[in-house]
Amino acid sequence: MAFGSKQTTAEVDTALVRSLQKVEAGQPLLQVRDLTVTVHARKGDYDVIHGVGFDVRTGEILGVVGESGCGKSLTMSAVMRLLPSNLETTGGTIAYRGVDLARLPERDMEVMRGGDLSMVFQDPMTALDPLYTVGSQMLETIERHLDKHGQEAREVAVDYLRRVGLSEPEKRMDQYPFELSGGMRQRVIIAIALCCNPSLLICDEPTTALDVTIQAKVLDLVRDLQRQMGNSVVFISHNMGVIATLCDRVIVMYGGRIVERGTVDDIFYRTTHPYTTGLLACMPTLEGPREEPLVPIPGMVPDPRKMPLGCPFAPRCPHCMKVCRQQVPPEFDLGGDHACTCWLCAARGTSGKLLQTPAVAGPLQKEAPHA
Amino acid sequence: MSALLHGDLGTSIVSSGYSVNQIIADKFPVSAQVGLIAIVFSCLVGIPLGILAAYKRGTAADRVVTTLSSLFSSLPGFLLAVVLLYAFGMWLHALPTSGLKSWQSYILPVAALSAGPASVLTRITRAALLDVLSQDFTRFLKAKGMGTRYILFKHALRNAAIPIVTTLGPLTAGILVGNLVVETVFSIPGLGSYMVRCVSQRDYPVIMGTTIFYTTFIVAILLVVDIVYGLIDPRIKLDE
Amino acid sequence: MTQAGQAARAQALGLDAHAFDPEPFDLNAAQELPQEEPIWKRRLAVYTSNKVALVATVLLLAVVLFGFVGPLFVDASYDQVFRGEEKLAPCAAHVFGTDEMGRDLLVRCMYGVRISMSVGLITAVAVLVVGCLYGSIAGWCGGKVDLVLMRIVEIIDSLPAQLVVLIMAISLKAPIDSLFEGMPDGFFKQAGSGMFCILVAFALLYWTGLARIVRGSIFQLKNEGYAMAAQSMGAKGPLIVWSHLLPNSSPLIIVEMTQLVRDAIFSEAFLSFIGMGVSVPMASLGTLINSARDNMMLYPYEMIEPAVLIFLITWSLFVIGDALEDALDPRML
Repeated sequence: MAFGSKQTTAEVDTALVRSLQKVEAGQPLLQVRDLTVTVHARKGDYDVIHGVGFDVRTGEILGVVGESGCGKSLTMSAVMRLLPSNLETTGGTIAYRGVDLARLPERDMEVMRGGDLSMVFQDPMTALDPLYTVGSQMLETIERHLDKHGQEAREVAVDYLRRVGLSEPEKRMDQYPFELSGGMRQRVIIAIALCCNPSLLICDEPTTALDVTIQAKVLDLVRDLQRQMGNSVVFISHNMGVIATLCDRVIVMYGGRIVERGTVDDIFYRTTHPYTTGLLACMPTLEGPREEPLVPIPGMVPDPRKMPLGCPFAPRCPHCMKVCRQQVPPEFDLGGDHACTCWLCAARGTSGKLLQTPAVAGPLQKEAPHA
Repeated sequence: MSALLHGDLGTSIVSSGYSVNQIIADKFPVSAQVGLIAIVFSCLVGIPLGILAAYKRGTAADRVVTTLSSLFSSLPGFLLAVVLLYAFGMWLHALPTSGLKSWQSYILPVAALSAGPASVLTRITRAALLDVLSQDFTRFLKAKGMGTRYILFKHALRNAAIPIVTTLGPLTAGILVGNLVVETVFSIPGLGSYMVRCVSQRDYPVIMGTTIFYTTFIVAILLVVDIVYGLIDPRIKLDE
Repeated sequence: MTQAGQAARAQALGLDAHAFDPEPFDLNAAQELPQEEPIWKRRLAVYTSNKVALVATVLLLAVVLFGFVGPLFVDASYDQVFRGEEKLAPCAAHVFGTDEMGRDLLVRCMYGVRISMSVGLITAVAVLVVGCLYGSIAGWCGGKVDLVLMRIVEIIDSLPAQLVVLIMAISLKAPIDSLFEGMPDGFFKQAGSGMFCILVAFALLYWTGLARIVRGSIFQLKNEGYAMAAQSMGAKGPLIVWSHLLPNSSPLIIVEMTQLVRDAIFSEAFLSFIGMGVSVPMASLGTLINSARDNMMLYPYEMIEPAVLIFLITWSLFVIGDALEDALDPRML
């Protein structure tokens, strides 16, 4: 098509992509600091993400968990700069390979999106344009970011369709989305997200809308591809089971804040925050005693327009203390990667040490260089 | 009735000796010419303005376009025809007001006919585009790094085409009906003005005949629209 | 874990010694949700935040008062001829001027508005009844009934309404004329059989849009929990539709009705303009504009007055319809 696909010539693209820093394995690829997202509403503005900070390291799978409405998806949308039009990132830095995504001009952000940074959404049924073939929707991405055209681009597309486990990839190229099942569509979407070899893939509950049997296959696929390609993955889910099988490190979010973070073992075996405990208590396990009922967390996620004064979880917390109603807890360092935003850490003497968040490594380019 | 099924629409009472078929054959080409120009013109004006309003959503340009379209779609066609006739023809003496002698004489009738349909098209195009742009796949397209203009023209416009094409049936009907008045006001010797004269002369066979002809014509347009759906949307197959 | 230890740890962090005292579990603490405003209040707020809609509402009310209350304050009737006062420009005695027969245009415009609004409202009521009934039956019964009923709607929809009204008005004329013979003198009789034909034709044609909307809405709503719950408790179909489903479709119905009133007024003006509407000497806005056409150069006010009135009506209905759609849209709250 004549429109747009050549609008950014390879020159501009490569200048920006070449300026991205190389990051060694295990070093932070993405460093988010003090991220604040504000909703602009008719009745006045209010924040939905309150100064969130975290790292994503090269080659790891980071899980983000929490109930619906905790700000998991919004945080990652803010990183991708895909917030709905009435929401805005009003503070913080999003350092990605030496570039601050929060301050990147939109034109350069477009070069990053789908190229070095990719995102997969929850519902595969609606994420593809119904009027174009699978192939043309893959090719437009490849032509946009890889500077490959015609037969060459087609070969890349077919290769990725094969890698995500679709049978007869050549035939799938010429099929329309409505001719594919939900599981197949999600594979196509993952293929599109991966075909430009991104360093970071963000998966926003990619299995929630799928059948349970397909869910497992898609999870396996994400893990296998991550091992093959060695990229980083952020996996958003509200399913603790999925997180346990897939991730290296986990962030637990509540009320637009990170309440606990750590390795999978920290979160599952050294659970500290009462909210994480609550999430685990409502997860069915095969090992646990069968008579024990699953315990739901009482109450509901707070309305971001009427956040409680102190800790956002205080009203639902079985261990609530006086201070919890008055002051938002700081993040306590529990050693290693483990940290928890709860006054209980101090009250029980587990840790009195506040978490020192390392500053963003290296100087940040405010604007991308142009050729 | 059997004559009707054979395509014979009877004879005129007033202009005796003329069959209705003959009258239609004589007069319709004139109306069709004006009508076709009006349809093309309203598409050429309405759709781009709708795209502009959707692309510049919430800006001054959007507000100007939406306000204008709300004003023009509230003006009955006959009123606009009369106002244009008065302002440009009789008051400013800028444009010819009757007949179709030169290309200038097409300007006022076409403007009167297409203002309403164009503003409807603008509204529909804008609404359809905004609807598509709020769908999930637009977000995924953005996540793939596609530019706003590319998304608008390659993906959103084709998805919005179905509601836009759907209005073409009623739009044609509106222009045909509008033609009755506009031809009368601008003294154009087409089927429309002839029909209005028949109404005042109570020449029922001609009124009946032309109405049946127009109705068949519009149903044919709707059929074409149905076929066009299949071209736009791969999910719609005519053979199923 | 002792109390003293806790207090020390709290103080080490610069907190009050009692900071770590347990609080009773209370879901509602700190979450005192202010009482949500009732839904109609929020809808009204959305509506009134649209300044253009407010202006349109005021204008429409003014025009309605002009048409229905106005004639009571003017000492003339629509067919009263003032000899020697023909073709007057607007002046103190005749605020809108007079026409070539010496009739007061102010009164004639008032009656024109009255005719337009009446056509709109009567059509709306007729369509409301037919459309809701038809749509409810199609939506609630579903299956083959729905299939047949909706094919009929599609056929009617594919016909150009204004032309069919023309044919219907012509063919209905004879039976309605005979019906009018024995009728007492009243508004209908004054407006004439042509007007009545138009009303009947509108009622027979314009219900399809509403029927579609009601059917679609009921189709969707009947599978909702509350409809099924009512059914499981033995409520009969018609009762559920009437007391649960129709009220829940009302936003859509209201918006469609404003659109419909506007369409009816448009069509009536058009038909009057080509001479199918009210019978003389009654005036409608369409006939007023048409008769002013011949002397447009000399007496432009004869044209401008009814033209401005009809524009005010259609424009304000358009804006009000748009604003209602926003106000009734749950996403806007």
